Amino acid sequence: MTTHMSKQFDIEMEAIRSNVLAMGGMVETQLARAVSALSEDENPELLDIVKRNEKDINQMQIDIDLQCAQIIARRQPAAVDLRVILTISKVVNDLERVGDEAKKIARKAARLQGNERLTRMQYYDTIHAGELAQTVLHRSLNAFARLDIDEAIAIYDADDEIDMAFDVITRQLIGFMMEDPRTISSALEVLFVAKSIERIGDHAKNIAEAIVQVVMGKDVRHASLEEIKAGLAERE
Amino acid sequence: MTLPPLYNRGWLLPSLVIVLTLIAGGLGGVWAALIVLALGFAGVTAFHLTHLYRLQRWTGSSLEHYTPLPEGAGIWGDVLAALSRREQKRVAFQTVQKRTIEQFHRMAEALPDGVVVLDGRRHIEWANGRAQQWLALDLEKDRGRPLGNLVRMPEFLRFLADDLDETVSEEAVQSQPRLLVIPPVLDTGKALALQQVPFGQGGRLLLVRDVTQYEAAARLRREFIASVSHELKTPLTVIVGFLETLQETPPAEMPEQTRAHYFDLMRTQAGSMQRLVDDLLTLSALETGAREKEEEWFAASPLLQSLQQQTQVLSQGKHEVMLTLPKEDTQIHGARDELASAFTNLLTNAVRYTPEGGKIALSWTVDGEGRGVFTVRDTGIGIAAEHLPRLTERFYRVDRGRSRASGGTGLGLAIVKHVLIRHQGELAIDSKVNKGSIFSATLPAARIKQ
Repeated sequence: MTTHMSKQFDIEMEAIRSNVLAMGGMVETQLARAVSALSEDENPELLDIVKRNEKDINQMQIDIDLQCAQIIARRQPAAVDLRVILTISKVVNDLERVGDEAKKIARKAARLQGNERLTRMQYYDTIHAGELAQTVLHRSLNAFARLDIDEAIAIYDADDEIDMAFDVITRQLIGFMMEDPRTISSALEVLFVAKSIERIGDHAKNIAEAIVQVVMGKDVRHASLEEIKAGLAERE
Repeated sequence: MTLPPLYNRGWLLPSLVIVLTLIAGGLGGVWAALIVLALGFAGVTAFHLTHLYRLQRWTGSSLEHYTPLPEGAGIWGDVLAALSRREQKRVAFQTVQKRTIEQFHRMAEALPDGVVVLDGRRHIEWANGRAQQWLALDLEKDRGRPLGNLVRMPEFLRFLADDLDETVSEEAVQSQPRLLVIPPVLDTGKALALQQVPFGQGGRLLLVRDVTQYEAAARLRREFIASVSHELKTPLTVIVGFLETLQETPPAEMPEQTRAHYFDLMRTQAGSMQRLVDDLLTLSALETGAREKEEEWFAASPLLQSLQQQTQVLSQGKHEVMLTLPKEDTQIHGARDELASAFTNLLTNAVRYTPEGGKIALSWTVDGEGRGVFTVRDTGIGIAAEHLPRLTERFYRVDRGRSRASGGTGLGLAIVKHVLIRHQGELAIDSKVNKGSIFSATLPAARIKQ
């Protein structure tokens, strides 16, 4: 009886994790669409597709939260299982935010299409940062799927790279705006895009922190990288 | 229940002990019998224990290859010989089995496709190297993990959730391949085509093929068709517009002058459509190689002189057109018409993009390595560096409006590039904005004779 119960519980846990990762896959696809809208001329329906999928993502967040609440109420999980469930709520939150940012990027990209004042060449760095954010998000979700703590910690450095890119982009845009005030409105659009990308990097890092928390059983949200590494060494 | 046969050699020793005991009892009384009995059975036990000990030691040997069994006497000899035969058979069978498995793995690795074995719940059971590489899996870490957790694209998850009907016949599976092409996955940048077939008990086999090149080619084709349609549509819209106006306006209400003007404009547009179609045909002939190459040796100077004259006609006296030729005439081996059309394209561009009063200098030289170099130098508007790498792409234009206004099709340099490729030559472009451009077409030394 108990083995049967625990097996059923394992299946339910796996279903929740799979749902989180499926939601992650949708968010990744949204972000990929948004970034490709920045880098090349896309069909005009793209924005509609992104908006429609955004609704699906929101619905998935609600569904997963409900599943988490139900499993806590019915099975009273303990230890690692409880940590995983509590973390999942946080991860899902971050994913939903990434979806929001992707939608914002797609909207701005639609406005920047065919812009004469500020060409793609001039916001190439922003596009590159967008691709970087895509990679970081992808890696953080892979680390979540594998509960891979080393990969999770490696994501911290990758996020720093995005933050640095954001600083560079800001300075570049200021340069364009000073050179030619007619670029100001487009440059501001690009700046918002860059800010969204920077936020996505932060959300990916939050997911990485959640993984460390699940595996180590320790809240590392405000700890420095050195402290985490020390904790990891202690554990081993 | 079967009793051990009486003649079994195992009974020999105990029977001997009993017989000896009886003899001892008859000769020396009860004590003698007891001593013989005790010593006898101690001997029997020692005999069996030594053999058991040897056998036990043997069980510690490696399973991988055959280790000879210990020798034995009496019943132990029979048992150990039988065991030895079984062991030899087992090892032989195991070797064959291992070789088969190894061969299977080697075969799976040699396949040009990726293979993933999934269980009933779509968890990864096994994957060959290619599948691991293309789907960014690591079998060490990912065995037993749901595949959908690692390859997460929504359309892939839907594909994976598809119920495979296992009752359908093999032909049906063949005729309805369940195929999905996934766009380049982040980690690997590959476009992959997937197919799944039922496998084992409720599991499935996922076949992965790399279609990156097909996808890229398909994309190019789509873009090309879109560009051609667009290029043809623009002049067509103008023509249709004027035709409608001409049809709907009563002749009396339209001055003859306006009518003539409309016809002129329509003719210009029809002309640009015709040029586009001609260029497209030239390009496709160059690409497919359909046209027979009519290669021959011909003199360079007459060709260049006629090109200079053509350019002067085209320029209508607005530019100064100069020609520099080497002292001795050179012979070129190649298709004269193709090369002439390539050089004409370069000259037309020079005329088109050089303001009135500018200079256009053509020259034909043979460089130090014996290669022939055809150069067109103009004092025109020039091209910004960022456009140079893409200039020979079809329909790539630095300034759409200007190109079309001057009758360009957007295919000229693509034709030049293809002609030169057919002659193993190359095109070099050097340009400065507002200073002018230098286009030089180089033909390999093998095609030049002095």
